[in-house]
Amino acid sequence: MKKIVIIHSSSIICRGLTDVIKGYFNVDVFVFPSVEEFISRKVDARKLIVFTEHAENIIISQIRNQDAAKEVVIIQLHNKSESIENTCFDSSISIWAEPADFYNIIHPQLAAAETHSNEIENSNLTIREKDVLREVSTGLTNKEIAEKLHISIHTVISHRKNITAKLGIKSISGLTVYAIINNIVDTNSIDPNSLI
Amino acid sequence: MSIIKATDVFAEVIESNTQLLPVINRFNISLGLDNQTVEEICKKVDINLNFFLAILNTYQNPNYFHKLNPNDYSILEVVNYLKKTHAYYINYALPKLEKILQTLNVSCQVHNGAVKLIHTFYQKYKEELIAHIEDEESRVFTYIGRLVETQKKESDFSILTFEKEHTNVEEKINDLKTLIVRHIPPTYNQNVANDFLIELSRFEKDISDHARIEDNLLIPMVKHIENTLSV
Ligand SMILES: [Fe+2]
Ligand SMILES: [Fe+2]
Repeated sequence: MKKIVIIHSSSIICRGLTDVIKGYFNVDVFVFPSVEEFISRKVDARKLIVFTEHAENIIISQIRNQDAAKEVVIIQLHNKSESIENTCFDSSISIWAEPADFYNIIHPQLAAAETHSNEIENSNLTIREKDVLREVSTGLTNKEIAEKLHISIHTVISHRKNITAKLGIKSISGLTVYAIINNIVDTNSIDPNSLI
Repeated sequence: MSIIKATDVFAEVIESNTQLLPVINRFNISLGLDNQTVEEICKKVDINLNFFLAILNTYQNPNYFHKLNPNDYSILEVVNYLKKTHAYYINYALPKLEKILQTLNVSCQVHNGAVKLIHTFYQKYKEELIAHIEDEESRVFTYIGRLVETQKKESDFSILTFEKEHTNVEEKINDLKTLIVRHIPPTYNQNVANDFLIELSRFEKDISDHARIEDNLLIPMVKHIENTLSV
């Protein structure tokens, strides 16, 4: 799951950046006025992309270690007109940058988060099983799945058996919930409520 | 567990299996049982002893299969019991689960999309279950009522149709449990989640016993009646 966090004391900058990000990406953006506030409220995601104005090493490592299970990418939000280098950040960008520059800095991170989550989070399902699960959760029949994925109905059925055995979920709507939670099915274009 | 007999002290039966509490309420039996035996209670509340034992033992023993003796009790007693169980689900069990689920939703420290999905999943399940119950009451139970009253079979419906179409209502409860126990991020209040799972397990047990009564008691009894009647 991909989530973006902005930690900045200026609410105008937070709002502006939220707008820019939401204009490009369908992601959840969480805004916090301070690092303390961010640390006290757990953001539910496997990977966070954090924008922050803070530059002190100790604060950055606090953000990074907020939850050991999470992968955190930290991007410094500075107010110089040119890019500056600081080794404790994964990247940095100026609040004076163009919206397109924000796109360029976020996009690779989100793409990485996507492949990363597919590899690690659902490592118990094979890639083919995920393909089948994706189609099952959009409501296709075994026959339709077989045609779409160029495999036999028999193979589809055996994948479905393995999926149910691995996940412990039998119903199609239960499998759909799992597929949505684990980003196996793309909910940007489909309303999750219509799938279940 | 052991088979419940007519001479057992009823309070002891209940003390050893609290899952039976909602079941006895459906027979209009309340607590304050003293040392009366099952038989004495039945006489007092005016319920058919054999039927009562058949139901209790179905809940008590997962493999209990009542040996059918059609003279033991009437099909209308079975239907009446099943209706009371339906009312218990609709008026008490489902609203209770829903209330806990709402509390769980609110208890999330941050927006938890997965808990929202669980809520949606539950809502859809509830709608399906209510439709299932309404179908049984409007199509099957009324048919049985007519069968008893007119003593005639019907050409467009028989209990075989119901037997073929009777769907599994427990599968999704189990999926719901699995999703919470294994798959969703636990950023909710754990006590509330535990309450929900415990309540859900109780409900799952009750409804699977209910389905067993429909499949193993109701359907064979109606088949037996149909076989003795002409069109
Ligand atoms: Fe029923
Ligand atoms: Fe049923």
